[in-house]
Order: sequence, then C-alpha cells, then structure tokens
Amino acid sequence: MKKITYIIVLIILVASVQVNAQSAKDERQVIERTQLLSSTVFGTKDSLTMERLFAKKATYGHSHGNLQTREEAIKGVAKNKSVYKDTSVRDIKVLFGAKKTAIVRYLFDANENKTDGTVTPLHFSMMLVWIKENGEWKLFGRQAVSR
Amino acid sequence: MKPGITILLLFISLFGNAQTAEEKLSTTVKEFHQALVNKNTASINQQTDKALSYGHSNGWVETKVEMINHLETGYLSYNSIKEDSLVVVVNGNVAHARFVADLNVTLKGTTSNFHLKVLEVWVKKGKRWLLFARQAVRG
Repeated sequence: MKKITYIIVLIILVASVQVNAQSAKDERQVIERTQLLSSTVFGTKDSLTMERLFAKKATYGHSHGNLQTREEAIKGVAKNKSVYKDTSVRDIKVLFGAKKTAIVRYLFDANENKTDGTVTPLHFSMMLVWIKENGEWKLFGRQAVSR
Repeated sequence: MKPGITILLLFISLFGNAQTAEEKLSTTVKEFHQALVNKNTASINQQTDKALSYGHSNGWVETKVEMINHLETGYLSYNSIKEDSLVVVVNGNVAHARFVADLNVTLKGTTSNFHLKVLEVWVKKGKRWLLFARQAVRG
C-alpha cells in the first residue's frame, strides 16, 4: 500500500517537473523567436526568415496605426531602406495563455537613419502574439506603440 | 427517397444555424466593450483571462486586477466605445480582433476622446472565449 503511494507521488513529481521544463523551453523558444524577428525587421530584413516566422493569418500593426497583412508586412520590411542603429530589445515579458499561445511584451529603442539623411529616435512598446504551429512558434499578431 | 430528404433537411438545418466562429466572437467582442462602458465587472471578470495584459495607447499596461479595480474605483471610466471595421481571425483556440474605435474616456476626472486602432487577442478555454491581451495605438 505504501509503495503505491510512493509511486503515485513520484509520478506526480516527475510529471510536474516535465511540465515546468516544457514551459521553460517554450519561453526560451518564444524569446529567441522575438529576438530573431526584431533583428530581421530592423536589421537583415531577410524575407525568407520572415516567411518562416510569420503565421499564415498574421496581422502586423505599426506604431502610427497602419495595419498590414502577412504579405504586406514581409514586402514592407524587405523594401524598407532605413538603417536602424543602436537597436535595443529589453524588458521582455512572456505570458502564456491557452495552449500554444504566448504574448510577448518588450521595449524597443533604435535610431532610424533614413535615406534622406534624417535620424529619428524610436521608442516603442511592442506586443507580439505567438502561436505554436507544427511544433514551431509563429507570429500571429504584432502591435507597436510609441511610448 | 426518404433518407435523401432527411439528409437534405439535416443539411439545411445545419446551414441555417451556421454562425461562424468569427461571427460569434465578433458579438462577444462588442458585448465585452459594452461591459466596460457599463462597468459590469462580474461580466468582465468572466470574459477575461487571469493573465490578462491590457495595453493602452500611451504604453500603459493594466493587469486584470488593476483593470477591474480602476473601473470600480472610478479611476478610469469608459463613457462610450464605438467600434468600427471589426475583423476577427480565428486560428484554432486563439483569435485576434482588429478594429478602429472611438472612445470617450474619463481618467482621473479628465474626459477625453480617443480615436484608436486596437488589437485584441482572445483565447478559447472550454466553451468560452476570454480576452487575453489587448494593445491600442492612436491612429
């Protein structure tokens, strides 16, 4: 009888450790994806990376309210001639909602160097929605807001 | 012949009832905004996830507890919310709603009008859609 109790306790312990390990892994993956998205959008502008990062039904909202579909956003980033210097991603917070859904909030700062020579400092609060599709975290929604 | 008619009737009744997930959630989204206006905090409590993250256009983010508390204390009041161009995209148990909204808000005794573009993220838990995250931007 006692043995059974021990075994049950052991099973529960192992299961809870595994659940924690899974969520820690998910959090790590989501943060990695967030950093990759930021360094792609404001750095390499590589459209293949963006194709991999965006979910099929993604929508992409800019700080001035402009809203883009997946295709518009990927094209827009690829065509963007501005160079972003002193980029900083900080205060990343990850919230897990229902299964396979994560919200990431973080602060983004950079200096946008436009082709006409002007420099605009950017200070954004970002909200990203990530969903897990076929084992990979994909961007489902993005909204930037100036702060 | 008879089974054919039965099957046909079954299909008609199915299509007759077919309100899409998007349509249902659109209704929920509008009801939620009216609950904010009416300070129906019991309903807001039921319609929001406990991990709610509610972001305003100035970068301010409220938790669920803060949001309900701010409505109850009168720190923040939504006098009216009128949403326009509401588009809901459902992807399994997660959905996002995008819309343009005109709000009349009283914050700390000061009343202002806002024209916002809003992203809301809803998650389905059991049979109920819950608001999980929201971010507004002036536009």
